[in-house]
Amino acid sequence: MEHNDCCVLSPTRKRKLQENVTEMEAFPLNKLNQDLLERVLSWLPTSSFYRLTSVCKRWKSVTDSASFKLACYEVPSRDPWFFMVDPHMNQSTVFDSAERSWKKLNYPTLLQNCSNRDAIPVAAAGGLVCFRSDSGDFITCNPVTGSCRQLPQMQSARENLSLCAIAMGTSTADKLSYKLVLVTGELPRLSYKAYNSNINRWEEEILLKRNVDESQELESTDDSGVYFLSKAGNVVDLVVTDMHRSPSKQYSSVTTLAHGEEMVYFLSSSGTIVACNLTHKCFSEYPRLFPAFSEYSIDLVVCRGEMLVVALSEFCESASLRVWRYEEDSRSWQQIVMMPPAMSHEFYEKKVDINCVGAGDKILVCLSCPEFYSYVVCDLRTTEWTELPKCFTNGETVEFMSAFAFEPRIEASV
Amino acid sequence: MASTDDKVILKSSEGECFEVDMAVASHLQIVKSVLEDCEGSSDKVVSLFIVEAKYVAMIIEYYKNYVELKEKHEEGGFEEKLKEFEKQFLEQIDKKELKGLVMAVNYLNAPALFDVVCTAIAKHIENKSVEYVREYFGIVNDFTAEEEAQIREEHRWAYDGVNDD
Repeated sequence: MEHNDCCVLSPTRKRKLQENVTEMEAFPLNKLNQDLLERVLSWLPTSSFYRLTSVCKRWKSVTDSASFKLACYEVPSRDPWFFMVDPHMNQSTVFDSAERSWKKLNYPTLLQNCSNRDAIPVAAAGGLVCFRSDSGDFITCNPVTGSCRQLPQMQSARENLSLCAIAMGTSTADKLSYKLVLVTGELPRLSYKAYNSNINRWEEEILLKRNVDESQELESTDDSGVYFLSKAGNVVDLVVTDMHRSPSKQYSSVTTLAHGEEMVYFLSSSGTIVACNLTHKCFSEYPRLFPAFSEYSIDLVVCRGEMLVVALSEFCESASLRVWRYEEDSRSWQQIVMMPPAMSHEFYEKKVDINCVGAGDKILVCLSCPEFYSYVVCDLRTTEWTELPKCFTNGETVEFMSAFAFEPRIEASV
Repeated sequence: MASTDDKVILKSSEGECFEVDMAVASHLQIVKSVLEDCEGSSDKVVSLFIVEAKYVAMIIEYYKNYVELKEKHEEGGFEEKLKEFEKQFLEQIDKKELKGLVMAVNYLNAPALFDVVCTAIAKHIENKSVEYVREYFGIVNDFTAEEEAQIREEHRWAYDGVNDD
């Protein structure tokens, strides 16, 4: 059957297209248009992208292209990288969960300044990690690009004195801006102050009211003087009068956004979990997961938008590491996953501290004690627990206390 | 507007003709706009000058499934079923064909398949060396040895893990 080409393209277009044919044969993809090139490169894992910037000048120039950054922004999620915290912070060591390898990133120049020498990471969100210097200044940083921003100083220094928690979150509307939230005060008098990157300013301090309904059902908080926590919430003994968490985890907290309500959760000095609802300007304390006087190490994480508790506890002559979720309906803690006993048993009677971070379906648990350091990833989807390989520098193992999770995003701006 | 019963004929660069449902062909933006330009004409043939028959067939296969799955899973689950099909679809395409397909899809302006093919190419090159990628795309290295060394130094971490120090 003979068809009439009634719908041919215009001659000029046609000639142009035919030229393309010959070009295509000679340089299959070299001449591909910019949109196509940028789209392909935006789907590459971040390390592969940087590696391939040395292919040619054109590929290298993509790094600075605004449309490329937009294409990257449209990639819905990237496998998390874990920014590792060690006692001598002057490097950026990350664990790339996509390539399952350790990487030593370039340490941002702003953090090498003498005034920021002692800055330690305290929070992370989206593609950014937030550092806090000894003098209480905050610096946000994209560990991948090395770009940094020193946040304006707060008017009063009072906040630093009674800091409870530092939380960071990206705006849900566009993911382009971020917020840093400081919860200050002492239970039951809490307030918070937020820095908004859009306006580059600290907002007014807001008082948080205790949620009366729930506090009635809680045991009295008067027992808070009875026992204290070590670094990551490990109950030590009855006479220690201070909490000994690693500086980086001291104010650590997690944020979630459920039903449009912005929440910040943190561990109080007495070991209870405090939930601050920033939207309704109130807070409440959750019932204890373990009875007072039992020995355990605890940390909070956020996975798939939900706050979870990871706890290492000892009983029946073994150690068990479990993840719990709080059921609002029954007002009780429900176990959702547990490390195989054979694996957790080696932590028995070792005074192991855990420091955890959640990212997507995964939880990274950093276990530390005088005898060893170990890093285990729990995948909530498959309920598998996998130990990370050891990290070596110059032939020696490097040991990390804790970690922060971020997405390696070239386009994340401070 | 064309109804879904309508057919259109797509002609490859070799002159091979493919009869396709409008519902399928309308996913190709270039075909859609050409047909809109000559609305009212009874015989619908669109010449795809630079696209070889094998790529026309692949693209039709993709969108045929796309349309069918969308109809069948109107209630939900379409995304997952499509992902499953896309996986199978890509498995039968070798790396050389992938390059031809991406050019064809780009030319025909077919957004859904464009993303699929771009991710497939990215997946193919993500663990490859710089040298392999140059060869794959037929790219000539236009850096001097010094420039290239400098770029590698800038992001040394992207070339090796800390373990290889």
